[in-house]
Amino acid sequence: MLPSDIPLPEVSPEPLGTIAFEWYKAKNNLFIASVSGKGIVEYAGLYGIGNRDYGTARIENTFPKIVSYHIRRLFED
Amino acid sequence: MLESVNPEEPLSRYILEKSYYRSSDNTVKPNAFMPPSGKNDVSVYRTASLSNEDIWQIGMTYVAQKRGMPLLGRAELIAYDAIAQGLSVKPDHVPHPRHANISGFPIDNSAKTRMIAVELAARSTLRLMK
Repeated sequence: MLPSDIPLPEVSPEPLGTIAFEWYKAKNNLFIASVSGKGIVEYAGLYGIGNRDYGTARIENTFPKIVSYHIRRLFED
Repeated sequence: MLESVNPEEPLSRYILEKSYYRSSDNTVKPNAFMPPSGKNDVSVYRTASLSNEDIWQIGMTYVAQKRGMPLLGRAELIAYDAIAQGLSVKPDHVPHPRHANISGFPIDNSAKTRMIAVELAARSTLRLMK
């Protein structure tokens, strides 16, 4: 489901019972997508101090484009 | 007894789980600052003027032993880091006079809560138990 050009994330459980997928460059450059059993992905990205984005997207047949966009943004030079 | 929290005051959030930090570069993960389900705050301790040993002792006695888990480390930040995210740091005094809560996480907006946890983790410094 993950687009082939996107690196594999680190996966970890969260206190709220969801599963977090983390793409990590540095402590100020990371993106987290958290998936619950309800088909909703919540995401939060930090692209340097003060530069951030967060939101929600529904998982349907394909990986949410907005989430792909933010992950690729993290790995842009 | 300590009263209102100065924005420059150092705070420690004790870490009991490996999923709360990255051993690859010794940094704090956002998980460490996610409030428990149904709560809008996270527990911290005010550490101004305490020695390093005293800070660890509080964590072992009032956090780790109470939960029956080993103390792995602590995330250090200053109160301003939370205030800058629209949160407040409220003295609580229980179970210890230096206990406080970082309060005001928007529990009706879990994406924003996660974003705040990401910001707090990015601003904090990890200290691991030797």
